[in-house]
Amino acid sequence: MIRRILKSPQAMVGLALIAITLLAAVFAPWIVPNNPDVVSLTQKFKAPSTVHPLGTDQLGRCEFSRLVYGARYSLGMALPILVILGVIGLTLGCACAGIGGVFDRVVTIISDIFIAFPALTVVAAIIGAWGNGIENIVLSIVISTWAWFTRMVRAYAVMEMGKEYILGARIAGAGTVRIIFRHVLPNIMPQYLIYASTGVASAILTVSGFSFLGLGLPAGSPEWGAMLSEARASLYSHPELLLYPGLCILATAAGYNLFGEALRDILHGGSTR
Amino acid sequence: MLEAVRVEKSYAVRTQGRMKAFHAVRPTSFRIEEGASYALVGESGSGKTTLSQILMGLLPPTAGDILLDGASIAGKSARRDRNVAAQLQMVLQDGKSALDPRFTVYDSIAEPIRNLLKLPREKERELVVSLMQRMELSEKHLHNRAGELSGGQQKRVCIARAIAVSPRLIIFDEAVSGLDVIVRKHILDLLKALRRERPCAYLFVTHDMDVAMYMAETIHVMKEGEIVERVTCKGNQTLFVHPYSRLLVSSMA
Repeated sequence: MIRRILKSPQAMVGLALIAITLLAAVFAPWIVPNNPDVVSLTQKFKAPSTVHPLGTDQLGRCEFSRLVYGARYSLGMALPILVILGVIGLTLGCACAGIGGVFDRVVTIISDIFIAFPALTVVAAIIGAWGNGIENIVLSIVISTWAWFTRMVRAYAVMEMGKEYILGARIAGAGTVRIIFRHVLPNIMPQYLIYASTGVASAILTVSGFSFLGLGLPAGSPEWGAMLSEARASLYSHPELLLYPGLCILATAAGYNLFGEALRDILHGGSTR
Repeated sequence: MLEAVRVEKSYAVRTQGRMKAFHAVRPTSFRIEEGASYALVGESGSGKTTLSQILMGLLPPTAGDILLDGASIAGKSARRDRNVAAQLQMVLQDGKSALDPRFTVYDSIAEPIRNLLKLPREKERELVVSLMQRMELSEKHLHNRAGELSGGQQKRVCIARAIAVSPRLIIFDEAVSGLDVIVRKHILDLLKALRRERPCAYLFVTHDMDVAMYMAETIHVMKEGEIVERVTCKGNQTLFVHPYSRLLVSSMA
């Protein structure tokens, strides 16, 4: 499969975009030429120069440094969200498929209730009650989206449990727990990874969207959505201040989406051969 | 050894807006003796597979009981007993879909050994290799996945899995359907040879009277969930008297 990923231009473009954002996030302190939080009103709206590669914003902060640090915020929230959603989704989804019966029905009903609430309503309620903060925004996104992950994993796990090789495993003496860990989980993992990779894109967009609306992060954080929101006032005078964070969100989300879609095509193609 | 006592299986199905009971298996009794060879013959949908899964303890019967050496094993929980699971094995219809697509041939054959015998790694490997040799599978296939093998090879892997734990009964559910005649004959002869080497009862669940006549000493003919005739024929076609059995015999190649 790795060879097929390497041969797919779409997957490689996606991987390249993911790699750029990941490297920017990890090595931000060594890449940035300036402190992203230092305000200098005498330096505002400066044109790109060797000191400020992409110029400065409305408060004289280095735009390039803020964009590089923005990768930390976006991925720093999107990846924990994905890990938590993965643990919840895989555990509950597989448990539903393995245990079935009343347990499955109860979890399905509860997830249907959670799916009925729009994410924005849940986030607004939690941030309103508990205040701003990265933990609260992560928690609120997890609360508003766990049901989607659980439902997706459950659907794949139930489909896998119905296959003949599962009956074969039972005949070979495997119990439900062993079947889940040895057969179901490894076989649904490719589909899960596809969903998760597009899920990262959606989580990044959600975090940026909420920051844009002023939900979640303290004012002045170098987060792409928040930067986009702050730059709105200078839309006509300095549209590039909207363009840069917008492009960063687009490129990162596109990276995960492209990779996820390419992975799906590769796996789908493989199963029909 | 294994006895079905008035087992039946019915499902509730909705027909024209009303719930009705569909009888997959009507009250049926029969015995499987140690080391004997049986066949359960009938058309698709006659309840053969349902009955065989009840016999294996994979499906609970709606009524009746399955007794293994006099002890009840009816229901799913019976197979949690490793001793019961090791005594009753089954070879499923489609070799490819009966094997985990991610598993290598080694892992597939080792699975029942790991679950039911729990041998040390070295002994496990020796057993897997000897089973592969017995099933005429080259050792070079040890690390191939099921999808990379031919239909006949996949079937032999499935049989190797079944005999790995030295069961007392193996149920073959349409075990040779879908294979070309030469491979089919080869596998059936291999099964005959295996039974001479390690005594074990066989139950062939099939729609093919040819296979039943070739392999089984006693044939049970099943129609619409009911065993309509049982004949210890040992290859003699003239002993069948039920019209449905005669129809199956007359359709033989």
